[in-house]
Amino acid sequence: MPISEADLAAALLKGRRGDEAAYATALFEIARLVRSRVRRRLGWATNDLEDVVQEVLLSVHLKRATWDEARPVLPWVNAIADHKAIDALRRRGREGRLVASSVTVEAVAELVASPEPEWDPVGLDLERALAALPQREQEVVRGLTMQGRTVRELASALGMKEGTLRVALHRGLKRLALAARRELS
Amino acid sequence: MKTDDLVRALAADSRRAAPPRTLVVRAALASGAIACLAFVALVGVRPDLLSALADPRVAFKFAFAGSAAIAAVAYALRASRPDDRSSPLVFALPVMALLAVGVALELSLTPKVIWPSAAVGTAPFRCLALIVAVALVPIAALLQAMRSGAPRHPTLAGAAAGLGGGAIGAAVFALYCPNDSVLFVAIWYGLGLVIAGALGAAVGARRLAW
Repeated sequence: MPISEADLAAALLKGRRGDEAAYATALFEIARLVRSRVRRRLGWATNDLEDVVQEVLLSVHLKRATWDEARPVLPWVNAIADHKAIDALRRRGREGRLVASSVTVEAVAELVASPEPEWDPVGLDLERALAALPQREQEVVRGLTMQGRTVRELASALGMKEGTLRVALHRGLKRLALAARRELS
Repeated sequence: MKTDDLVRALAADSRRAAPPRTLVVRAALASGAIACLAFVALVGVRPDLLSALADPRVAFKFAFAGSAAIAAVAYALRASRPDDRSSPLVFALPVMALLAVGVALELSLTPKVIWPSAAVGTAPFRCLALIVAVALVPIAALLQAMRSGAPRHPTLAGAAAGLGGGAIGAAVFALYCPNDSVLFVAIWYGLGLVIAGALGAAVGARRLAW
């Protein structure tokens, strides 16, 4: 269910003040927006597209403090998406998958024909990068991607203090972002 | 990895993220203080500092360096946003105007025959080297603080950090510098700022990428 820009901004603000559920909602919405934006601009096949979407989400999260509450949120999200899309273009540069920046008739036709995908989008780059993380960080990031696991539950399952786990999570995410940036085609 | 799962992990990383503005301003002030203390301890201040401050040309040195530092750091903060569209020129212009006015005044108030010697001053390369040396700590501190940002153009953002650090270094150096001519400041402090900016740009290109 798409939400308005104002609601997205409100959800992000709530997230800033500690409301994890609101923040997750905001991120899901951002994923949806970015997916269609990048697809429209680059016309990429599914898995590559999802890699960019995931990289954008990671950046949106790690750089969330760069959004000024007084400014509109969509230009900020779009700027991050465009930056990462350009990065990905440079890194991959695969010919034949690139669509000219001006919208072509074929691209519009394809967009109209295909509704929102029903599959669970999967990205491969971050999966690879995750596998290369130090063991502890990998355990923590994987653990938290599982349905319904809270920080407290995972901490006790791994025998770690909550604070230590949070640090490992943050480090792991930063490392993922770095690895994603360095991904060579 | 499924995107839905990634979102879950991101939402769990709920540490408060400090805004770049706080980190950068803190870095500027702290590194400025450290550079000042270290410089005064290792090199010292000019013996006539208190009386020199009454000289408008000396006051100008601090005004120029101070305004350059503020403009550079202010732009660096703007440039740390991914959706920034500000023009660096808007920030540079007031500082350049100040310099131009100062130079114009000095040229109009001093005889032409002394312009060359005033411009070269005494030991200009030593001054330049000291400015850059003092600037290194603020440049490094500003660049590090700006890693919390997401600049559209990391090189440009790095240049701003370099200029800011350079200006802080110049302000500290002015406590010692015996050359008071505005022409000297325009050329040699200016050169110091350019070198600092280039250094910041070179490092920023990699360190500020995100």
